Amino acid sequence: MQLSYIPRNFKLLEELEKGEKGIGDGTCSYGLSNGEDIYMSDWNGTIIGPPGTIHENRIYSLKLYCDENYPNNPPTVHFISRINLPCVNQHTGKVEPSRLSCLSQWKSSNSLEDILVDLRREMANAVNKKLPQPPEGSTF
Amino acid sequence: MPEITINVKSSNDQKYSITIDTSKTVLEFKQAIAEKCDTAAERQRLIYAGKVLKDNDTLETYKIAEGNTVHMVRGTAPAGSSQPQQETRTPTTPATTTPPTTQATAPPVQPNPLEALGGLGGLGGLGGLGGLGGFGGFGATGGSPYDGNAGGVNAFDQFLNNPAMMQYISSLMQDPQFMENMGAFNPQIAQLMRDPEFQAILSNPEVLRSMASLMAPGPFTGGNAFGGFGGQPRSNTATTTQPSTTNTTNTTTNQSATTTATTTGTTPSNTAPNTTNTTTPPFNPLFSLLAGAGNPNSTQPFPPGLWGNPAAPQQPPEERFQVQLQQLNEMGFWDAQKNIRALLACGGDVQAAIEYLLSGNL
Repeated sequence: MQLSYIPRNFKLLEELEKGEKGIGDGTCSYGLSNGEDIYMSDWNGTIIGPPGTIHENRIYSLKLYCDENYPNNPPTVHFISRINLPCVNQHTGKVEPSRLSCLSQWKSSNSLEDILVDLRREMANAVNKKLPQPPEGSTF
Repeated sequence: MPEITINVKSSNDQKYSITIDTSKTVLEFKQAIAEKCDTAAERQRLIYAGKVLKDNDTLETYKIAEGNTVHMVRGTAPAGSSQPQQETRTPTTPATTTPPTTQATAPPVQPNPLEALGGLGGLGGLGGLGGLGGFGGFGATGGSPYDGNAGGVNAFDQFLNNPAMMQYISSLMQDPQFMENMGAFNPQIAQLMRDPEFQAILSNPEVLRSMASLMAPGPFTGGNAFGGFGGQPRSNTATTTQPSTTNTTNTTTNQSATTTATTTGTTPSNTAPNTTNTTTPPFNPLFSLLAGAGNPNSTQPFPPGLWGNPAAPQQPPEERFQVQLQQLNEMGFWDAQKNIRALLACGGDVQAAIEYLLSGNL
């Protein structure tokens, strides 16, 4: 337990810093829901809808939960903003791990950013990019 | 209340630094941003650490700290007017307004080809053909980048048809300073450039054109075939530049070119038909010459990164290519991982990366 704890926090701290500094292409953003949470379990994420798709100009909010086994186990991911995507449970907003490649084939080297990027790729996917979407601002 | 400086990164590639008191509200922050950019406060949407900032909250609530980055997305105008959000986005080619200094010797030409030439300020700048490849895609029409492939060759043709360009090249050839500079980088090149036969090739549009069409059927058209070379390490390119009689089996495909060439042309492992190659050996040095300047950094005439990027940057690629990544994103390439790989493969050249991405070979 103790052994798996250190890398977890170490990794999450690293991700936190990256999220706050905004490294990356700026299309996905993430950070702790509560800055005082020393366990760094609850995270917020946003995805800016890819241009050229129905998601363009929309900002999707998500929450991610990293349990104590992160990064050996993937976090659980929920959409807060309503979205119509095959990998998202339409009742709860939960991202079904089996339907998203980066969760189903999770590696401990993956990061929260990878998940957001993968989800964004799903949105832009030719099959999904024209799916009718609930009005912006609606939430699960 | 402490004042902090917050970096604001806008979706159209602009960056602003705003110094503000953390007790201020998000709305006040937006107004401060609005003073620096043309996006009205009510159209801004700000994201920090995975949260969309609400106007009435103070910055403190979000615990934004000194030096942190807030992302700004331009929203549609309020009051439901669904005006297209495509603002007048200038094509974000790595176009430099400062022309290369060697241009002084050049005859007056339209600025565009020269900018594409950016690189070596001409000759090596031919590698900027990589740039030309992209031009087809989003040049004047601002049209879909997807016709880039066809555009590559067409633009190249236009480029060759431009007499001024040819004149420019030959004037470069006669510019002793240019030659000296070239020599400083690689004596072999200098020697090569003085070779009248080689000069004849460079000033012969037909040869260049046939080269371009040779490139065309391959997976890497125009931009890539040339520009893509930019990132190759110096040693490789240097080997290829040997005025080679030995290297008659060069390839015309992008990446394999340098590698196979370094094996000093033993096995013809090339994928493209190379009949023309064998008959005209000097293609090889020409290619590598062209290659040298595919580097987007080469906006000054002789950048240190002339041969790829010897000063290997220490930052991770996503930081190093931040600007390029954003450009790609705006053009509709949202797959950041792919974008990074393409940029890495193309030494950061956006146009080349686009071609690469569109080639589907990633």
